[in-house]
Amino acid sequence: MSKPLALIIEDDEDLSFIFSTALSQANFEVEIIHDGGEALERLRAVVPDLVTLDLHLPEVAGKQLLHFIRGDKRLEQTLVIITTADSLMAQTLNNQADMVLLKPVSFDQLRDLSEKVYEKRARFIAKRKKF
Amino acid sequence: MNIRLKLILGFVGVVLILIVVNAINLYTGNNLINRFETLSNDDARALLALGQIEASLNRMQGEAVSIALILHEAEYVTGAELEEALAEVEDELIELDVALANVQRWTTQYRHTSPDNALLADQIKASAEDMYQVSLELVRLKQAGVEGSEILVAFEVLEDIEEDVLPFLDRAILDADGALEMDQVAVSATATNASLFNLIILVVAVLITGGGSFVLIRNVTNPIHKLQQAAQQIEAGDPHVQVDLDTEDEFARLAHAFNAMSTAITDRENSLTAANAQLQEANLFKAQMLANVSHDLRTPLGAVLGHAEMLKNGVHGPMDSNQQKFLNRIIHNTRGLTDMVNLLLVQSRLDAGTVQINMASLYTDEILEYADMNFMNQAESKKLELLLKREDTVPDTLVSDETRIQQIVQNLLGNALKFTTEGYVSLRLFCPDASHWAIEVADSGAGIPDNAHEYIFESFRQVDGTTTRKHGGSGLGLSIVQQLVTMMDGEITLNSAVGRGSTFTVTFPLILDEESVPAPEEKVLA
Repeated sequence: MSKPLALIIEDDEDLSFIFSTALSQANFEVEIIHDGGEALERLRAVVPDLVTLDLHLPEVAGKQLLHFIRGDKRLEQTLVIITTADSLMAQTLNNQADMVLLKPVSFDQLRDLSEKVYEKRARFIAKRKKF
Repeated sequence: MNIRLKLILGFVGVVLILIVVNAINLYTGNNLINRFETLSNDDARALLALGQIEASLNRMQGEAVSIALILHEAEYVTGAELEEALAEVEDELIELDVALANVQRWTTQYRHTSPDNALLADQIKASAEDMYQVSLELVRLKQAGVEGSEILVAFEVLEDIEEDVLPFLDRAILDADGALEMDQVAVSATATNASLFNLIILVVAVLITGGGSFVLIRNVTNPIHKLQQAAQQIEAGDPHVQVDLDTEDEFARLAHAFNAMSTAITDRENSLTAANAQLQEANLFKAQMLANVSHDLRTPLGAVLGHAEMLKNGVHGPMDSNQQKFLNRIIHNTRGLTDMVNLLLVQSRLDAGTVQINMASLYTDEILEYADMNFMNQAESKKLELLLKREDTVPDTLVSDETRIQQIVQNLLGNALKFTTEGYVSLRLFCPDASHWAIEVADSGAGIPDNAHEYIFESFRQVDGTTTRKHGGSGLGLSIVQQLVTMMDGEITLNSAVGRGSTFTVTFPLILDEESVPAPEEKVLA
């Protein structure tokens, strides 16, 4: 069985590297995307299992990407973890994301949580399929 | 006009009215007495004179008759007896003179009582003189030895005279008597009029003083009432009040001072409002600046923390224990810096008044999950037990502000983990009674001394300098927790003693979620 796909949408080189390492350790196949336009293109092409989403991005803002994901039936099962430095924006989008992590995001925390969230989701889908 | 002057004038006015009323009273009283005396004196004197005249006339007639009788008896005597009789006649004549003199005297008096009486007085006087002459004539006739018819004639003349004058006399007596009675009636009427006049004067005086007092009282109470109303309006929060009095007395001056005060208050309030707006603006600016700064700080902090954790995790190759120790120091300090950025941001928002409470449906389990997600790693790295529990009495969903609850839990658990070196840290949700729910954060740490309980919730305060140096931190966490709890109508209590750990309990009014639905399974974590 192939690894679940995680898109890391983050314009900061350091953070995207740290997040990708954490998610790799959590057994995800990782793709890093640095700007919003590219992210939108990619989201149209693939169905990721998990997206870590920065809100302040070049070209297309994270908020629009979140709307796109939540509005696309194809991406219904995609988990979205918002990683942002903007605490006010984080509060307003809290309901639309599966999880909001306020920067600085801990490497250990992201690794453990992404794993936990994905497992929980997988269990729920499996349970639903039984009915 | 001055109120003082008005009061003085009012007093003087009342005194003057009293004096006038008394003077009028005195005058009418005196007038009455004078009138009574004048009227009754004349008429009484007239009546007295008439009585005397009547008596004297009767006496004259009696003397004349006596003389005639003596002379008649003397016709039959001679010698010594005759002499005696003549002597008797002489005496009677003297008496007659006296009576005539009386009549003359009293008629003169009667004449003086009123000019109207002159005619009657003269008539009576003339009649009396006639009677006297007739009496003398009678004596002369007797002495001359005249007898019979001539004496009879003289007698008849006497009677005629008397008959002529007596009816007038009686009439005059009746008139005088009537006049006296009339006088009494007149005096009585005058007395009644005087009483009535006095009463009218009294009523007028009462009306004048009453009206004056009423005007004076209104002059005093109206401005007081207006000023009182204005003061109440200012008290109620409207300092723009102006009192308008159309007088020029002390109250007008007071109203002028009052208006000046009101204007001063308004000006001061305006400048305070302006200053306050400036402060508010400055606070907003500060909050915005802090938000920007914190945003810009978070990204590099994330890089520092992430790289350090990666190194520690051996992503770039194994680390020896010494290297691990220093990496832990980097991670610890980065977390401390992050906490401080968070707290400063929240405090600046609280100062700027931009923190809002958004009450919405909250799954109580999510509080425990939030604690688990954010603090389990930290607890494990300090080898502390993190105990999370929700009592059965706490409903699945309730109404609260999830973000603020997370901030409260973050600060309380963060503190507990920071100050506890061994043992446990626990978070428990429970309902102390039917209308409240509570978050209890307890630890097995050093505990907080009693004397610190009072100030521990103040900004920038920690238990002591030593602790501050050892644990770092801004001293804002508990102050922010308390401010948030207060904004949510809650209450925070501390139960702690040195060596026995600390327990913070935050209690909120329990608002049940009326439209609660089962937790959506697909939303695993908030």
